[in-house]
Amino acid sequence: MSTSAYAGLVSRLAALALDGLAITVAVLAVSSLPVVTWESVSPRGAPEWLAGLCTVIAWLTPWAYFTVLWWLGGQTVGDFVLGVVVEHRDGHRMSLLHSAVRAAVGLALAPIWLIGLLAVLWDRRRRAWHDVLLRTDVRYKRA
Amino acid sequence: MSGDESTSAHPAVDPPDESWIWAEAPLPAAEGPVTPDVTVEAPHGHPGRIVLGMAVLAAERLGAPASGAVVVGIGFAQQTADNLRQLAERFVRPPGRAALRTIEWAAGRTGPENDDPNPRPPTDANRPTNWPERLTKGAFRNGRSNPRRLAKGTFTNQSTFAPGQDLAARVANSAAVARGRERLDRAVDAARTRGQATMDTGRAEASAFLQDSINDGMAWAEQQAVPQMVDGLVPHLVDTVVPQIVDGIVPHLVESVVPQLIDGVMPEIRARVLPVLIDDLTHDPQLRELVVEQSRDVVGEAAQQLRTATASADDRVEQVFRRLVGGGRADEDPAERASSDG
Repeated sequence: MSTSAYAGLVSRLAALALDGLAITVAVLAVSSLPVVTWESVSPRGAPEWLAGLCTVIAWLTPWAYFTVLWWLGGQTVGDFVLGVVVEHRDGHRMSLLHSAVRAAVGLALAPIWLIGLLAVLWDRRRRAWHDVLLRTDVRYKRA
Repeated sequence: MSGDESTSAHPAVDPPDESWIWAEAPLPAAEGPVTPDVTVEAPHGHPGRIVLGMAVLAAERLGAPASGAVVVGIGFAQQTADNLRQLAERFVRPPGRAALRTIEWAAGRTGPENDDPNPRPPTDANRPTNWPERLTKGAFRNGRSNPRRLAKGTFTNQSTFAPGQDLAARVANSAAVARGRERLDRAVDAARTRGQATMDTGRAEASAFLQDSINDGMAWAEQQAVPQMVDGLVPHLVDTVVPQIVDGIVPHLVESVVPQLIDGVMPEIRARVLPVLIDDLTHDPQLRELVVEQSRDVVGEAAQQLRTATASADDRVEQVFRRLVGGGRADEDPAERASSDG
């Protein structure tokens, strides 16, 4: 077990990878399943508005995924598997707005998000750049 | 005394259960006060009759029932015994009186008018009035009282009939032989009847005796022998015999009986028991909960191992980074480390 209470780089990257896999599955499902279901029911095929709506929802799915899960329990699917939890710096659970902003920053500035994760290696509390910016910590969730 | 004498001296054709070869008939007392008649018999009958009955039962069991000759022999034996007993009674009486009664009895048996197959010496009441004449004329008439000799015709008085004697004498002799044979037949019939009755009575008494003996033996065994045997045997059985039996039979059961039993039962179990068992298990809520819980435990165990591995990897990566960079992060707060340990 780690000697620190804060999640390190490997755990956070592994959780992020699992989240990427879960988001991919979710986006594919959201973007294609309604159209396929419609086409299987109606012989005319799916209307364009449905395809457009599914596309919009698919674009919003990653943001909604991170926002809702961080707000509800502080853990995404990857965080749950790896046993880490995202909290406010003072130890409280993040608010909905706080979670939404953190998710938007991470998705909008994904390359910077990944580069900023390297700061975990030398930060005293294993904080990435977005953690410093948004005043959050990622800790191990002890059983 | 005279009353006893009259009854015991003329037992005519006695019933089988009252007269027997070894029956202890009441003997008249020669002198002194009259003693009561004492007949000592076994509870089930006379021992001799019981023995005879057992022999009869055994013979019947072996498939060889008593023949007619045996029955007649038994009857004759009884008659002979009666005669001997009466003779013994005479010996214990005053000699003169015994001699008189013997002569009297002989005179009664030898008379041609006496057709009784079991003649007995007459008593004072039925003594013939012409007994002195009969004594002198017929008591010792060359053994005519011997039925066997009469039957065989060996006694033909050849010496008394000289050659050339008249035909009337021969005819009279033939009539005497015929009467002798007739008397012999009656004697044989009476002996057969008496012997058959004796055998029947003996068989019944033997059966009753055996049944009572068996019942008594069973009751005795139940009350006395079996409890003692059980009390004595149980510790020995428990300590020695049963362990030996178990030790000896278990390998045989394991090697031979159980495999055969399993081979014989398995098809039936597969065909009937397993489907029902599986159906019950799949619909059992407790079993479902148990399966879910075990699955959850397996997934949780795998996740915990993953978390431990990644956490260790976190530390290693940081250590490598610090070696490469040469610096490193400052130590975290002691409170944070403490919280991480807990």
